[in-house]
Amino acid sequence: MKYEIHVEGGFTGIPKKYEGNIDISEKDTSRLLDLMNNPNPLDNDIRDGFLYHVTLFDTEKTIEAQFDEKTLPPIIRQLMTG
Amino acid sequence: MCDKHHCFIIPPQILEGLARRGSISCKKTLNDTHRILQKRNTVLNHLLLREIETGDGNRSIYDSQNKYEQRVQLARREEEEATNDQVVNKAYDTSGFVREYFKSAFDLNSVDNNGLELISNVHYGKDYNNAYWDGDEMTYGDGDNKEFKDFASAIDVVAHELMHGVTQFLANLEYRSQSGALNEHFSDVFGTIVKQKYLNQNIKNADWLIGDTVVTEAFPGVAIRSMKAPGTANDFDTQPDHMDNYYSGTADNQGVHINSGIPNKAFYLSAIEIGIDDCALIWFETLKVLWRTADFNDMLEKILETSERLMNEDKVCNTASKAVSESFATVGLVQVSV
Repeated sequence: MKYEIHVEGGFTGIPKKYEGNIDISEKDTSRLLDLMNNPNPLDNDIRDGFLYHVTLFDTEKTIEAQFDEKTLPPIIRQLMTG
Repeated sequence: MCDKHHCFIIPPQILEGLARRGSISCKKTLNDTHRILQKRNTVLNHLLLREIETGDGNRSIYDSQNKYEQRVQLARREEEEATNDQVVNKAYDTSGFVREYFKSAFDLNSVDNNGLELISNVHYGKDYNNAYWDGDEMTYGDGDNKEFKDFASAIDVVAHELMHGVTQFLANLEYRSQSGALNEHFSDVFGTIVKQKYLNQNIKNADWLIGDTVVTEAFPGVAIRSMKAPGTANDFDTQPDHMDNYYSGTADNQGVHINSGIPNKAFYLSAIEIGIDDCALIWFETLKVLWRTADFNDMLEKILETSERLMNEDKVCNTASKAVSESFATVGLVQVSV
């Protein structure tokens, strides 16, 4: 499954893009899709936090979700930190 | 009036209208209502009721130990001896300097004027290129040391983040579009002022850069932003310095870090004319009368009113109002006569 992560905001205000393929188990894929379909509400109090626009390209559809510093699931952060 | 689960005796749009006409009590009610709603949600979520007590603005520095978590390991508290970790010590020293500046300049007791504890988290995440204020505390990454470094050690970054706290409690400027750009602007303004105080600079020899010490030599630029010349700090810097180049896109919460270049340039021009201390007082007093949805025109109207008032009270020089008015006109913001 392909992914794209657009990071914007932050103190620097410099956008960044990550993309690649996710090679994870069926169970983790299911968990990831669940997180994407049910993201926690963004934290309105954060200033200078990054905003993460995540897109997953499944075989049948495209799923998009937005996260912030407080709501970004570790599994998605791992895609950026390696 | 009820909006989902939120009930108000006076509708917010009426409070906002009265705030625009100068009602401090309505502005405070509007700001507090929004903040209280947010806090109430947090409190309900955590099933925790926190009593508000006056504090001393004491500092606590936590080491995130490169995890993406806050308050992992308490590293240093107020009045404790320096540790072996220089990042911890720098975060302690710089946040203390910022706290003392606001106390001595404006008699502000910590960021909320109620002695809120100043909590900093350092070594957040792995190669994390950011620093942020989350409504309660500050968090700093170490940077990847390829392009960015030492966010917690930079006096202007620390002052910038703490100023977000001050803004939250004084005006609670909404973090999107023009109100968000003003939120960023006030943080850059006081980041610059505190930096000049910390480094014993004056307006002639100051560099007017924000974040010059958090970029590495490999970074394609000299800093993150420039108050003197917005849009020139680095290869990615798209800040305009005039309303003609206003960014109207949706990125970055509708350009909060982009359009802040416009009032930033006005601040620089004003400071060159009347000095940084007069500007500090004018900007701080203006923030006190702004409200959550204030835009650039509201800012201009209130800063001119504030300048006039402070001139009449002999608290700033007698050319302040003219200098501020001309500075904002230079960036394309002029007051429309009704």
